[in-house]
Amino acid sequence: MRARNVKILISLGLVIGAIALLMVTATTRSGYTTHYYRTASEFLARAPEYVDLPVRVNGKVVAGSIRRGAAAREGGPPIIDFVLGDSAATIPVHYEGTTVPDAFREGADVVVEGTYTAAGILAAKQLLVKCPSKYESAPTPNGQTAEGRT
Amino acid sequence: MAELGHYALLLAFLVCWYTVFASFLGARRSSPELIASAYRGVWAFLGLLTIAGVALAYLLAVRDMSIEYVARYTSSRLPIFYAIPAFWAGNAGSLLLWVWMLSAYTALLIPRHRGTESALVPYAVTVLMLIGSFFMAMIIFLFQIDPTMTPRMVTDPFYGILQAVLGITRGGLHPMCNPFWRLPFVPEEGMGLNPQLQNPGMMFHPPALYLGYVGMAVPFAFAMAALLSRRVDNEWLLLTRRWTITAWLFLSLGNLLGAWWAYVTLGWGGYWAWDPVENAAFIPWLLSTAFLHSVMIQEKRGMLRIWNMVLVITAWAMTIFGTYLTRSGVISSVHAFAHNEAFNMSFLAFLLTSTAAALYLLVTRLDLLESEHQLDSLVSRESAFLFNNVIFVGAAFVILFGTMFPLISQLFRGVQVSVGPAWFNRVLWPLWVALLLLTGVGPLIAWRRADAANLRRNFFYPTAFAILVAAGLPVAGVRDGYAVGFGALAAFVGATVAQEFYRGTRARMEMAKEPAPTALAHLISRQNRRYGGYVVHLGIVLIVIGIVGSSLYRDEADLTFRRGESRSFGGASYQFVGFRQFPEVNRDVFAASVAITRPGRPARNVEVVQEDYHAEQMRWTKPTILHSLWQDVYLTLAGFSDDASTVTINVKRNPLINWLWLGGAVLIVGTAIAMWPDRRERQHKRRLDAWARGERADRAPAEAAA
Amino acid sequence: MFLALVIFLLTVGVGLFVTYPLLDQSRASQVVDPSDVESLMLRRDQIFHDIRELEFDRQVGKLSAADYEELLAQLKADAAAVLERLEQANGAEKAAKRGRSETGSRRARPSPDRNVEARIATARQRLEDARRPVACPSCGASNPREARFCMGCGAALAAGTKGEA
Repeated sequence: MRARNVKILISLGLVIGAIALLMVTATTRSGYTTHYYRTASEFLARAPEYVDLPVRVNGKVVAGSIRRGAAAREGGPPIIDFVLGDSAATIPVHYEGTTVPDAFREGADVVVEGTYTAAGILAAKQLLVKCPSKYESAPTPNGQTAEGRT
Repeated sequence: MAELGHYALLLAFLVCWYTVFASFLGARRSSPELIASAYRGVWAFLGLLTIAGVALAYLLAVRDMSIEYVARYTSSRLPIFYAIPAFWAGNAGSLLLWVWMLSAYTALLIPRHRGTESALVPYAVTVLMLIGSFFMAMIIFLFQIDPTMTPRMVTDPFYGILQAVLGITRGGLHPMCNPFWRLPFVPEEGMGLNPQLQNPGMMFHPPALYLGYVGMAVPFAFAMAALLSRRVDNEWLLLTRRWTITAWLFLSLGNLLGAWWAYVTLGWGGYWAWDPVENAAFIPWLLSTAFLHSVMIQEKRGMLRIWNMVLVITAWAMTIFGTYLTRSGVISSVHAFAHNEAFNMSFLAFLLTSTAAALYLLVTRLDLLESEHQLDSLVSRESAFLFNNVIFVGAAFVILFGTMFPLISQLFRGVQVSVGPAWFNRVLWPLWVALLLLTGVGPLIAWRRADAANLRRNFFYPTAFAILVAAGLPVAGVRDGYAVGFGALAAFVGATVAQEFYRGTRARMEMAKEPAPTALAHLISRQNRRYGGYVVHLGIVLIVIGIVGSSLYRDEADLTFRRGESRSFGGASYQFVGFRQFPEVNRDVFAASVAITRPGRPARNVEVVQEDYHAEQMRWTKPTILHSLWQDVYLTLAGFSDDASTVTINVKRNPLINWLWLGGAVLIVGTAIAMWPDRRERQHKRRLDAWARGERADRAPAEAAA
Repeated sequence: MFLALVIFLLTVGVGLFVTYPLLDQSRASQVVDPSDVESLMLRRDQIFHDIRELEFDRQVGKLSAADYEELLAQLKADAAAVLERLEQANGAEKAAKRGRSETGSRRARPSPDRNVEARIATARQRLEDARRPVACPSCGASNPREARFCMGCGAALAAGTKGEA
């Protein structure tokens, strides 16, 4: 009886250990599996550490900052340069991909995934715009949307 | 109307609490009157919530913009079949839907025939109504003080009194989760529904998922009832079998619909992004799948009883946690958005309190939950199920960990680090492999101890077939290691299922002298649980094939061309034929016509569109999908020049992806087969009926039951 | 005002509906409190179901004869134990009930123990029949049940190959 229990415990332990090992190797192997996630001001406070690393930066598209440059190919989606910011700081972003989320516009809350270049520009690989509906805080009586925090 | 709905909610809240006490005391004291009153309370609760629900639906249908919820999620030009499902577009309405479903599930537990149900039911009702009372409290009482309002602007009597009672003199009391709140003015137009929600998938996905979430409360409630009443034998398992499978069915359906909706609507060509909200729906599914399997061990061998309790508690807790995660904004995701501290704190407090209470109940009844038998051998069905459970729970834990990683890393390293799909796939693929293997091995391997002869007899043909496939795939051009591996495994599992059906049919043919089709039909109907389960496994195999094909072999290209030009990609030729722009009721449409030609077949014209929604001020790039069993061709309009002389079309090829949806359908069918009540359930019910009739004949009226 | 009336009526209606059983006790439904007997019967049903599944698995070829015998013996032992406890519990209940009511037991519940024992007995009988050797009608030699031709004289035997249905 006891030998059997030991065998069971060992095999269960092996399975659990294997899972743990997988998790650890996936996490510590930095690069494409993990991204530093920051708001714009947090990011800029430690910007030099992030050069050439994959990052995700969250902020709002600063009004008036979207520049759609000439298309890389004719008829293709234009190159987009815009400024990402929160209340304290701003970062210029450069994006050349084809998938521009439909909700992308001035003032939109955006998560930019990409690499931070030495020149201080965020070269974006992906733009993720937060879903504008669902579970937002209530509008104030004069009809405008109150901001997130209570 | 709104006031009617609001007061229906208030009444429902009171009735809910009454039912909690009436059912608990009635069960404790074995008082049939109290219990009958409690059951009526459940019906009243359902009725009142239905009134509230109908009121909200009405308000949405007529677009009463003075109601804040209506103004937030509809507009006057929104088609009515999207305006009404906007019911669950926001927090308040979806909470109402949640608690309505809870009341409906509870009402279904109440026996229709007088005099026959298990003693567990009143306790289960208590637990379910306790959960309901929390949600009702959230809906009614959660408020914030709006500094731009004054107390006088709070026109609703109930909230006015509440504010006065709480002594809040500055600002106005503004409930957060009450869908019937009226704005102090009437806006001209509503904010409209996000166009991406204006899609049939969004009409069914939330209700289906909620039915699954809420459904898991029923087995949980029965488990607690078993602990409360100290009747921890297999009765509670038998009673909840149907509910567990039902909840599992809807969790599966909810997840599948969510993935399908993402695929056909969002335009990025994928169906799963390991987004926190998706994970929040997936984790309960994994845990309830584990539970479904480990329950069989308890039924057959009386083992794993403590484990089952822990599992059902965890599965339910994860549904609450998932509900919390989706709405709290705790983990940044493209879904979740708002931060509301009071809401977050309440939900978390509820989660922790209820889990602690459940575990306390469990710990104090541990002595009742000893196993009847021990594990005999590592090579046995019990062992296979045990590993199955460990891996499912392990996968759930991994996904939870990955989802919460930003918070964990914040705690330990002060910096938020998030993990992407690559992390999840890297950690999980061995687990999926192991699970797939167990799916094939588990049903065939013997109980207690499988010897070499048993293994040979059962696994020879499936293994041979798998090896054949593994050898044949590279010859057919499939060289990717993962693809061959998964393909061989899928073949193995498929072969085991086929073997089971074949052997079972043949046995029936000999035993009952039936022809094959009749034998097969009887086989499935007499042992529906087993063979329904096999069909579900078959569905999983198809799903795996679909996922592997579309993940490993997808292909895409951006095609830019002027009018009349052609480009080729993936064995077909694409030609930009024309462009038009036209207005619809609530949007402007920009459509590029593309002719697709495959060698030997006539050209096909499709339109690839972008749509500009007026009220919502959103542009939607709608994918156009050409389906076939072999692959999907997925087209989106990536860009067009101002004069529409040049366009860029993004084309993706997703091989085998429809096997995913097909497998999902097979899974649902298999679940339906398995859900049919089996002989034991019907016997149990019949016996209780007879017992009650016999009892009543014997018992003197005033005496309490034994 | 109309609204206030509606709400008032609703409140009163719900209140009456919910508290009615407390006021009028005679129509209350009984809650069955399945005693030990019920859970024993559940256990017995479970064992019978397992025996049936075991037989089916044997039919289908998932079990070897040795495994089958061993598991069946185990299950039959379990069944016997449960049946015994069921009889005791039943006997005790019957005595208690007889003490309370005037008339003899008008139990609508069928006597399960009689059925059960009969079923186990027939099952046992069938199994033993399945294993008992057959006599050849021509020469009288003893043959295994599965045999199709007599081992002594070669005559064809009745093809009762698998009698374990």
